[in-house]
Amino acid sequence: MTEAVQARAAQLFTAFEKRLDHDRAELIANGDTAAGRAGGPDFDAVRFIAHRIVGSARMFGCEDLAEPAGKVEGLVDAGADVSAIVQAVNELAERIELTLSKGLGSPDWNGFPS
Amino acid sequence: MRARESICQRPGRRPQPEQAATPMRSVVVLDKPEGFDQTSLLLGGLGFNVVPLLDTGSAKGCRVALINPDCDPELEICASLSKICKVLLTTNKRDFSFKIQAVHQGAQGLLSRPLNAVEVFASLEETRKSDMPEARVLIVDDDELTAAVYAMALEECSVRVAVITNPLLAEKAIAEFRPDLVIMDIDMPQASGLDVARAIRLDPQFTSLPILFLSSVSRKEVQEEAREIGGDDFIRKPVDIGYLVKMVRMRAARAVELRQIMARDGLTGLSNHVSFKEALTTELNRSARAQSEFTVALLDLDRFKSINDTYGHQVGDTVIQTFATLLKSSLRNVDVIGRYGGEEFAVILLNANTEQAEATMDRIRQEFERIEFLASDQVFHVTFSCGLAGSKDERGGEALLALADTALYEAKAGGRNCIRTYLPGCGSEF
Repeated sequence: MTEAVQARAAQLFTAFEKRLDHDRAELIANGDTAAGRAGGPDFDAVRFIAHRIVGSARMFGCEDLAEPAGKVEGLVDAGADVSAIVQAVNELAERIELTLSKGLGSPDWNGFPS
Repeated sequence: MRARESICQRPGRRPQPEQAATPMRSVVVLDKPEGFDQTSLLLGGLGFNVVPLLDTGSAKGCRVALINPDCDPELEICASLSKICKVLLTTNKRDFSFKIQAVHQGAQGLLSRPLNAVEVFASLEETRKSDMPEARVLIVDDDELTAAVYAMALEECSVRVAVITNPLLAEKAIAEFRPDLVIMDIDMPQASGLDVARAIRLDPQFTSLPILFLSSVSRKEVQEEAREIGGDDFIRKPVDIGYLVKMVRMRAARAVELRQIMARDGLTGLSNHVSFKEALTTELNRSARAQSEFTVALLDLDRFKSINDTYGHQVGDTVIQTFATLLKSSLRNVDVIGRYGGEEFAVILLNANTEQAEATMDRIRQEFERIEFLASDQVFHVTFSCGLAGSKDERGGEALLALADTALYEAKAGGRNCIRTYLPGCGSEF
């Protein structure tokens, strides 16, 4: 990797870290309120965040988030029981917090042109 | 007839310093002494730096090696050189077992002996094209961070990339960026990537635009649906960067090849009328932004109809091919050369004012009139007339071409075999 690419990669990692922190807050805020909406539960925002984590976690060195995020997405898509979804959302938020406290791992950019 | 090899008879022009320093312009040759001299004269005349193969070190920096199999019967040298450059065998052997041996030993082409300028130059041009794929890829993904990583990886491979995070802007982005391939996420909040692809396909001009879907959706029916609507492949998220780069480069390269075939004139390999005009529009916009200038030249072979009538269309085609080869070898890589119509050609000389362009065109004019064509045991020469117009004279492509055409008319009226430049505000304007 050239120095320019390394610098750009570092910027992207910082941006991802910030977004993940924001995602965690959104999951906590949305999880419970989505479950208790007047017109019925609406987990669209939660699903969107979870789906995005599934697609990006490995690339930014936190592959361990892909599994709990995939679980949230799967439960929402399957129209699972609200309490099960809320529990999965909370688990995901906790895993994110743990990941952020440890710091992101090495990215999986296998095959990135050198 | 010997029209093609007649280019060999031109005195070998010394390569310009800029060209000699470029590896693309260096060709290493393994041949008998008379064969080397002939090749040296032929390619030297086209501006190539020709070096004899003394050992593997002499091929360093060369992109192409020409090997006479009589000097390398087992093709061992061919095999060794094929690891560092493109190897073309100069031979008239065409039996299939020889071809199999040749490709097994790494040869990438066969050139008939005696070599002719058009064929050799076409082979060297192919090498240049494959070195510069100029692929353009549009990424449609609502996750701007992962899209940025894909873009960075592709840009490292010299692919031009544009990213949009809102799929509703895809049509506009495709119209403006003209990608050779689209990478499309499927699950996006604004619209499904499958629907976006279907909507793109509604426009007939984009029915064959390759689309590569990315998704973390593992359901088979979604993947099948993606393929049904003409998705060229389906890559699962999380994406393996190396795999993505390989897939995109492979598919984009094919798309670029197709684009080039469609944009080129079949007889000469030059830009065709449509792509030349597109290039002219691009250059007008670029020169306006960069405040640089360029010159447009329209060239027309003199009395070409009588060549066709006297010697036949095959001879006429050879004259056209030879002229195209001369233009390609005489102009810089950055200049745009097009076959504008039958025997009419057009050139965009970048960063050149009309005085500089006139000097260049006059040098080519003198070289061309010296070329001997032979048909029906008769030697004949062909000339061309040229009209020039500078980008400072007009801001529109059509208007600029019209000025060059007016100047070309003056050149024809002035006795042919000459260059005329449109000069605004000079009474007759010439």
